[in-house]
Amino acid sequence: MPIILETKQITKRFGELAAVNNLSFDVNEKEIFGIAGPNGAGKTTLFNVISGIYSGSGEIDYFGERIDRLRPFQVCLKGIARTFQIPTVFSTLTVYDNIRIGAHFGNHSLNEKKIINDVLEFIGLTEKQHIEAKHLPLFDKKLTMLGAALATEPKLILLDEPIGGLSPKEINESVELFKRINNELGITIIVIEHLMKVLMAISQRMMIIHNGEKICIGSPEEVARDKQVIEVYLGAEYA
Amino acid sequence: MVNNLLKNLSRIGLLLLLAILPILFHDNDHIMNIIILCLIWGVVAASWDLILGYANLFSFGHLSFFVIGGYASGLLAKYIGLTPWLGYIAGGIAAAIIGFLIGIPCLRLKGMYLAIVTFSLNFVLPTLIVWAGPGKFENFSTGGSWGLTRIPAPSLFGYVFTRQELVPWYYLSLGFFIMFLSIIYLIIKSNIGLAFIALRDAEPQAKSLGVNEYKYKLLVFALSAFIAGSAGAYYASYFSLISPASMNLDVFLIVLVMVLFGGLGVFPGAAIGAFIITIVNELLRPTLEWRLVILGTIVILTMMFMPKGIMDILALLGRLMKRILNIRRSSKSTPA
Repeated sequence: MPIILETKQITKRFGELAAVNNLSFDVNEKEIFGIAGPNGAGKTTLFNVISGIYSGSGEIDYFGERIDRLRPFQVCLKGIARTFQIPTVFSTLTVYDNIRIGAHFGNHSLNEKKIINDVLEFIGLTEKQHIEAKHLPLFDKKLTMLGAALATEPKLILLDEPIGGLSPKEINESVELFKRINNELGITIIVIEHLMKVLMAISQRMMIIHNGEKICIGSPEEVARDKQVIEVYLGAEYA
Repeated sequence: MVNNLLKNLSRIGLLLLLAILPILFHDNDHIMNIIILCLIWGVVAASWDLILGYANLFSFGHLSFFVIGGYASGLLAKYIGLTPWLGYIAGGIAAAIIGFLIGIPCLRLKGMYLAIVTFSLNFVLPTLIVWAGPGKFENFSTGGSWGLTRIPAPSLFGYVFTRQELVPWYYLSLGFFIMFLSIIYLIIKSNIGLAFIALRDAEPQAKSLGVNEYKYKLLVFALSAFIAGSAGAYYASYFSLISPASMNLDVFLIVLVMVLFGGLGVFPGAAIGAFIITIVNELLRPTLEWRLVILGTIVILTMMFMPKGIMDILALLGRLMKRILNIRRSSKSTPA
């Protein structure tokens, strides 16, 4: 599998604190790559650096091309979309217009309407497309945010704790959706998640970070056996 | 259904009312003048709302674009002989260029900081205008603190608009108002407006979805300044005068009250606010210096009880009307 994203020694400091510290890893095309770690480990900061919201030091290559000096909208136009930990939607716009933002600004395709309708169908919100986003329940907000990201037709999508706060049924539906995004649409996924059971079930490879540093990378089985991971993150019951 | 019908009826009614107003007031110059001012300030307030309410950028130098437009068209008309019609465009372009340039250092500023930087325009510009007065530039003088006087009025098919006949001015102003309100509405509904709203509602997400925030921030500065500048040019040709006093602090406050009372980011709230506040301001004239106190109180009460301004009241009235109509209909349809 060719490498879609390669980070080389990326570091992001806030004053004295290195939220991301000298982090290097590769993500293969078409894989689901999981990221976990304790609160404050630097997972979201890492996403913000990749998507251009923060500028750090080090190098980020996307299909061999440097993207670490690009602004967020340029990163998006290269084909990297993302969702946010706190479900953010354009609250005064309808579901349709939320997705239209991604289809219009993040995508150079001329067939805007078809993309929006396909995305609505894919996330299952066709019937709710005229509802203003602020009136949506949490799960639909998350779907809308995901739909807007998908409407940019990305090759790589970064999902930041996409199932936080959802019911078990909604979690199952989400997981199915992530698998379809990966299988049917052929989109590479990097996903941050706290629920280890879910993360291990969907990821081909995983990385555990702690204090901004990588402590382990490998298949879910390898990660679950790693002594350091058990010590700082998983706790004894996984041993 | 009922909602749409009500909306369309109220729109048609409003347009009819605006069209026949001169029949009621044509021989009262004082009232005609106030209605014309309502229309001009309606455009200014709606253009300010574009950047303040829709793009959520605290641009507090908006009146300087109005004044720049007035001076640019006035100077071009007086010293080069440019027709006022082209002056309205030239005033808009001059203001848009300055708006664009002001926008550049403001790109990375937010909230209070943006407000402070743009607010300083209200002090810089009058100083520059007075400096560029008589004795400095003989052939292109701004007229100093007296202002630029004897700005020519437009003419149409041989008819020259004059302050002696306000009915033609009224219809011209109404056309100007409808044209710019339509343009603002089209901007809001276009993809440009979508970008403004996206950046307002959730900026990081908008950026991650491909919205180039610098481009759209500069665009909203330039567009809103253009409309304010064009309104300033129109105002100058109507009064045949533009002066630094047009951006005094009390004018700034009154226009801000129009936008806030009308409702931020709820088109056409700002324009409706301009109508109401222009008239209220006129009625409050006998209260002298208490006027600003009363207007200030209106702002505080608006912010506390109806954050969407007059549009909150209209929505409430709409719901009430709908309920009344529904009750009637259901009582009709129930068999006796």
